[in-house]
Amino acid sequence: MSQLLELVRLRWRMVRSERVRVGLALLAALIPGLLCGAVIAGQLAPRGRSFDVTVLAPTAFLGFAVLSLVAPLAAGGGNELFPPEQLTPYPIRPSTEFAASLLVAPLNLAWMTQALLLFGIASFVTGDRPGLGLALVTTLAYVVLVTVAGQAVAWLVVGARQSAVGRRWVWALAGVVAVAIVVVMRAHLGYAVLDRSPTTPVVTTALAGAAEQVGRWLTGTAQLAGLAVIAYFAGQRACAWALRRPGDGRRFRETRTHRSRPAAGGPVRALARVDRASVWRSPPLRRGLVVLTLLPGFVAAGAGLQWESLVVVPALVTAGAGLLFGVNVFCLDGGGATWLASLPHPPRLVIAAKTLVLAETIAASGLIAAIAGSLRAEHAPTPAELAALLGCVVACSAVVLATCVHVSLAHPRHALLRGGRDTPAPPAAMAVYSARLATVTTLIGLLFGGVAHVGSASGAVLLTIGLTTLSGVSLARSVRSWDDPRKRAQIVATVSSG
Amino acid sequence: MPAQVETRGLRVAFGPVVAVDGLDLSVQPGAAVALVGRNGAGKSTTLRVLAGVLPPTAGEARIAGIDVGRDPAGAKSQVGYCPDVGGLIPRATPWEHLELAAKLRGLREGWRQRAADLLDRFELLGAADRVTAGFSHGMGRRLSVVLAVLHSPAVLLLDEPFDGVDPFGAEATLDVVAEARAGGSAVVVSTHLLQLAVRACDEAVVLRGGRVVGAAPATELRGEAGEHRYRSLLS
Repeated sequence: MSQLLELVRLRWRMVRSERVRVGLALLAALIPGLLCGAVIAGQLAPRGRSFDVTVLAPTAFLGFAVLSLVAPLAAGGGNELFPPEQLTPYPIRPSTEFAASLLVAPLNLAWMTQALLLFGIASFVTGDRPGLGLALVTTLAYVVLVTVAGQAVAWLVVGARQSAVGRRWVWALAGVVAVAIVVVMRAHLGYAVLDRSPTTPVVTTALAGAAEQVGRWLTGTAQLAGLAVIAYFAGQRACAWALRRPGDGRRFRETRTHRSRPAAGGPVRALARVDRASVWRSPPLRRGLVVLTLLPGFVAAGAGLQWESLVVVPALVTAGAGLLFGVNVFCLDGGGATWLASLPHPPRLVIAAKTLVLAETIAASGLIAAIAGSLRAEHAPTPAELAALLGCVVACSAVVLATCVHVSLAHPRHALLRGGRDTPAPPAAMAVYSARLATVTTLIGLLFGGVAHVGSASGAVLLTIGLTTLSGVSLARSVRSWDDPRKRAQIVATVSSG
Repeated sequence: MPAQVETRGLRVAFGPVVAVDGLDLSVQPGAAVALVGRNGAGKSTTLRVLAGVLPPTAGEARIAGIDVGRDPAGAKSQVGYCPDVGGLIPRATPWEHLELAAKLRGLREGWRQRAADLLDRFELLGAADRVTAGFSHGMGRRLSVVLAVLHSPAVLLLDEPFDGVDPFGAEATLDVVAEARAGGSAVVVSTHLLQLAVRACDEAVVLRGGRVVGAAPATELRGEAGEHRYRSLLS
């Protein structure tokens, strides 16, 4: 624990700007406020569909468990306070590594919103019964349990993937899970499976608390808390095991040969080709792209979302795609940025290539998610629904692109993106960027959803043109700052340092 | 004969920190100068300015008569630069680096043969299709030298080219420096390894606090006596 406190203190001291410190403190203070807001909203919401929400509550709890597992899996064992290469000389204990990954787990917009949703649901299903506090304690115990267990399983998978045999087992297991999901969906057994959700007893315990059946509540909640403690110690062991394993994963990836084809086209294409390769050869980016494009789409398909609601899916996916590397796009060059800057070319070529690769990554992710999500839509889309969906992909991609290029130019950082847990910026910065992008794209998604609802294809087209033009203006303004040689030198020095 | 590398009153400041403070330097075609000095003396910053990576705060830097500040692309086309650290795109292969350099420098088709020859001389041909993130430090340094000399530049700027490089790699670097000089290129080498510096260059310029504090012909810096002279210049 003392190591963790020291690391947190160091991370805090490394935030040099007073403005950023105040912002982060406000953000931290906002979380209890949001939690209270969710609980109050649950109390004040109209009670007309109380039964439906109670029936769906186990599914919502299950969804949170899936997220708590997938997020650290996608991040190769959970996010980290410091990139590993910065901590190499220090004797950091595996228990500290595990506790640190748990500590930063809530710095994830999807985790935070879903957790708030659970508290809101718990509050709603409790209604005006006296045991609200008890129901919330059960929910908290559940949130802690699945978060800790998710991290523990993720470390177990990280450890298993350190060998070729382990990787084959993990892929086989993932294949079995995927096939099982497809079979369940094709056989229309989704509702039957969800009715037997293992989270039903959790909701029952919360409801027992709400009804002040203290004995039943205490037994259920104590079980959750006990399991959380067991998961914590198991997670520490799994983390220690994963970090102890010699691991051939990275060595294998970094010694693999990539036969180069003769480069066709001009300098921008040559630069974009290297940038594209940098994205696909980076384990966190490749894994993030696969998870990001396929998972939300298939979840939307599994939920059988209809066209109007489907519009929000690509909106969120484009925000996620921007977070993969877009918020620090120059870090793709790493130390090579200095060499690249010494080559004779118009400076705009570099930013043009990066913008191109980022744009295609964001737009392709949004489009794939939209297509995957639409697989189980009941009817063919109306022209307005189709225009809204495509417009949303285009507009959100443009907005995310403009925001990412602006952030990359304003706050360049050194990031290797080499290991599975690497991110393009520190955890708190990623949380801020995530909130910023997700808020904007969700609003845009809702706007397009509204347009689809009223059935106006021309409205969708106009909205797309308007938002894309605004983003284009913003992008052009950002790109102009790249023309300043001092700004370029500062960015090159920052991303190539370390 | 006009100097291939020339700086006059070159000054580079990072806020309150002055890295280069009124540096005057001149290197003739076919000549090689070693920039030596303690850490933070301003050697790497000087080379970054000459390579067109960093704009000077004040003063003038010319490469083959081209003002680096006014025509950075023109100056860069005359320069081959090996940066001090890293200098490589981590997830690109050596061959991809070479292709990119050839494309951005507009090299003619024959570059592939020269690139393959250079990779072979630096014992990197077998690793030409592996990403550089998996390279050792010495391999990275050797590749940076290959990238710097690919286009037979008029000015060769090598920043710590021998750092972590084995004797065979160091010999290959010395060979390409000698060839560049024979072809009329001006060479500037920044290094802490004096004995290699004096083999590569015919003059050593000592920097301290961003200024030139001394210079000596390479012949005077050889052997034990040269080490003593060097230490006295440094301090």
